[in-house]
Amino acid sequence: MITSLRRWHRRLMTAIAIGLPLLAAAALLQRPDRPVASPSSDPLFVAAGYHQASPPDLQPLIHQTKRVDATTIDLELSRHPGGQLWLKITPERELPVSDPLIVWTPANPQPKDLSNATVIGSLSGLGSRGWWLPAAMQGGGILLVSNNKTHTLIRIPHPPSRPARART
Amino acid sequence: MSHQYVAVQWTRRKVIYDAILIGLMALYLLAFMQTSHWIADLRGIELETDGVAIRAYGSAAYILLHLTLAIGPLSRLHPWFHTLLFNRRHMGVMVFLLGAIHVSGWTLPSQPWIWLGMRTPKLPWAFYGSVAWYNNFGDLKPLVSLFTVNRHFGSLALFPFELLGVIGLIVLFVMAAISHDFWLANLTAPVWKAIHMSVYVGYAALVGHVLLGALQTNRNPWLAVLVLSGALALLTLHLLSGWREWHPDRADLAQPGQSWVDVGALQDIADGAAKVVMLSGERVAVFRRGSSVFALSNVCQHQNGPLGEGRIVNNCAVCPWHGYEYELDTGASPPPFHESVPTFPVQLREGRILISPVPMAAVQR
Repeated sequence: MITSLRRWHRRLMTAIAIGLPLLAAAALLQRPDRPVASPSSDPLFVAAGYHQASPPDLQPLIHQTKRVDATTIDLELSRHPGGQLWLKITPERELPVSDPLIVWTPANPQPKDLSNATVIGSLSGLGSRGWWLPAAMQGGGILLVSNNKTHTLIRIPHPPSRPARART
Repeated sequence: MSHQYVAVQWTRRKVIYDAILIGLMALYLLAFMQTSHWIADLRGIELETDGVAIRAYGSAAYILLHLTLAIGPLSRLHPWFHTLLFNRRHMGVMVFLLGAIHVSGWTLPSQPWIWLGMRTPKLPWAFYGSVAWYNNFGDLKPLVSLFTVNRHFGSLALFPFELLGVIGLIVLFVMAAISHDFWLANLTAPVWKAIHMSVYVGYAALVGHVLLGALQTNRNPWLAVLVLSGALALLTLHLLSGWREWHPDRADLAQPGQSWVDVGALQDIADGAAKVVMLSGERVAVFRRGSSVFALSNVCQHQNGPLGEGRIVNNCAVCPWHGYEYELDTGASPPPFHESVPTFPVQLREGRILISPVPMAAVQR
């Protein structure tokens, strides 16, 4: 009656005892590296700002570091001769917060309400990220948002205004 | 043991067992969350409290599942562990409840309260479960997202570990739902036990869930060592106890056509205890009471426990698992109970025990 159940139990446990350690070893050995080793051509990574090499002919505007949650973040804001802004962010290590997002907000200083903010990209994972900022993003600030906490990373200067024509 | 239907037979021993179980689980959850807070404070980082609660409940369910599955082989290896066995089902139900909270969180649904014109009351220690939290409150319904977002079925490392968790939770739910004696009595013990063997499939799915989920992002080597040690320890216990059971099953004493089988000397059995022998494919418990010998089926009718590992109390063989009693001469439970096990004809010749391998019909009361 239960002899067959015992036999099935032995077979099942033997199969699991062989299969599980193999699965465990394979799963641990095949753990994917974070996307830091080499630039990826995957359009998803490019769209997220990963591994974009800084374009040439940039005119540095701001280069500073910020410390957020015990992590140093290197920030570079440059202007292309065409007028576009290039933002490059390099955290020294993975930020210990959930879903860190980089957003631009026209208000300055740091607003409590992020309803007018625009998401630029994600800062999760390791490595440098670089984005062309849309032309509308003039002034305001770049914020790091995670878990309802915001940190101002950088303030974007307004574009140099043309000198006013002298009244005649 | 009961002769009438009782939803849950609470005894003092069961209440103490459950109180200790709930107390230990509560302590573990509090310790996990408090330690996470301390570590976050020490490192000066922001704590993701929902994530911590999800991990606390998930790890509690995972650890308790290991302990629950270890009790069976441990009690096969040593009778000390019988005391943990009698209420093992409550541990299994708690594993399911902890797993369900890991998935669903600790929040009340909003809809009924909106109908009543009330705001949803907030429970103490409320948190979002893994389905809502890791779905990140996106545009998709959490369950739709759970089943459709990760489609890396061709990759081992990126395989949708969420589905393995779902399989494990479904198995745990079935186990918990039919854990009651009502189902045990209606399905019969062999069918009930066969269904409960699917817990090992659920266990394998949950180990895969942890290996391909938590261990993919958390690279702390000690966590991997802990997970692997737990799985290896449990598998070793099961294989050891299975190996011990395998030998008696192969040593069948009855030859074809043999009417009486010599199963050993009377003096080899301790007074008040039994020796288990294999006769014609089934185990027989040979009990000794003074100079008398009785042979009963080794399979208790309640949960198919090993009757021969029990003792004689009040002229009854008592199952070591849940205390079911059978009279030595008839195999029937004493009135008003109705269970019975087959008995075997026994002779005692010059200190040797002879048993007929053909059982007598079980006495029905």
